[in-house]
Amino acid sequence: MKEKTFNEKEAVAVIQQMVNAGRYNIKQDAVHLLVWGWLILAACLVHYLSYLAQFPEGLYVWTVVIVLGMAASMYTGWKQGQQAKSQSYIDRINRYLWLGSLVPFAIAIGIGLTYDWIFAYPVFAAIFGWGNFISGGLLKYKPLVWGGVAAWIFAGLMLFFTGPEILLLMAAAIFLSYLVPGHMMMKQP
Amino acid sequence: MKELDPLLHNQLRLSIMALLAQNESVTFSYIVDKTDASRGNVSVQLTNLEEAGYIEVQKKFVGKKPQTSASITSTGMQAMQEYTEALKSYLDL
Repeated sequence: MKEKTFNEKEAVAVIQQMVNAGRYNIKQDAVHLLVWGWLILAACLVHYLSYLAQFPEGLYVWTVVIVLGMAASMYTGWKQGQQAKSQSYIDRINRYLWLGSLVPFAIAIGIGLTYDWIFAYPVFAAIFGWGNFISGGLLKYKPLVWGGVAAWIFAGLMLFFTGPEILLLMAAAIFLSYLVPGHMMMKQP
Repeated sequence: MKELDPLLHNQLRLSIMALLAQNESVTFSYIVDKTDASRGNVSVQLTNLEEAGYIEVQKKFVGKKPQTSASITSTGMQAMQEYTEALKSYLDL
């Protein structure tokens, strides 16, 4: 681009061109959704099957999933940070949103450990539904907003169940809230 | 009719400011890449914008590589708002 003076219409065109060039890359967020989505879905199904097989140690699948998910998220975040040539306001808000959600997630784990896990699952679904609802709004990406709403609906439904079927509701919530929008985001141009 | 800020009424400087207005910070190579301008020209215009107080330039190391990045200041954001308002009045928007 050569330096030159230009008229007002060209100035508008330059601003539009730069707005398009600097458009937020939604795929970087999809990676996190897919990693956590598939891990949690797998954990729900493994835990549910372990109930049916009367194998109580199946509960420990959650420990594996949390460690794997945190490691994958930290690695992906570090890698994206190293390669990033721009830092948008959405990046920062999203980072604080999800970092801040770690505390409510930890409290939900505390509820599960102290009382019973059936009390914790609706709280988990409500927290990730809230996170996706806000993220979707920030990114102006409706499927993620609706994914957040779906997680809230399933969180509400979980209140009516006390058995292992709550894990299937959790799996459905994560499928609609993380995996459907995540795969749709990956297909964005 | 409002006067257009002569510092912003330049293709490359306006491009840089438009990129910075929508990001918290951008690297020097990102600006070069998106504007398709030469590194020397971008460097000169960044200095002009920095001297006017419209942007801040930061230098840091990422791993072992030096990285220059820039961010818009509140003065720069205000200047962009006034510039776009002036543009609207010129174009009867």
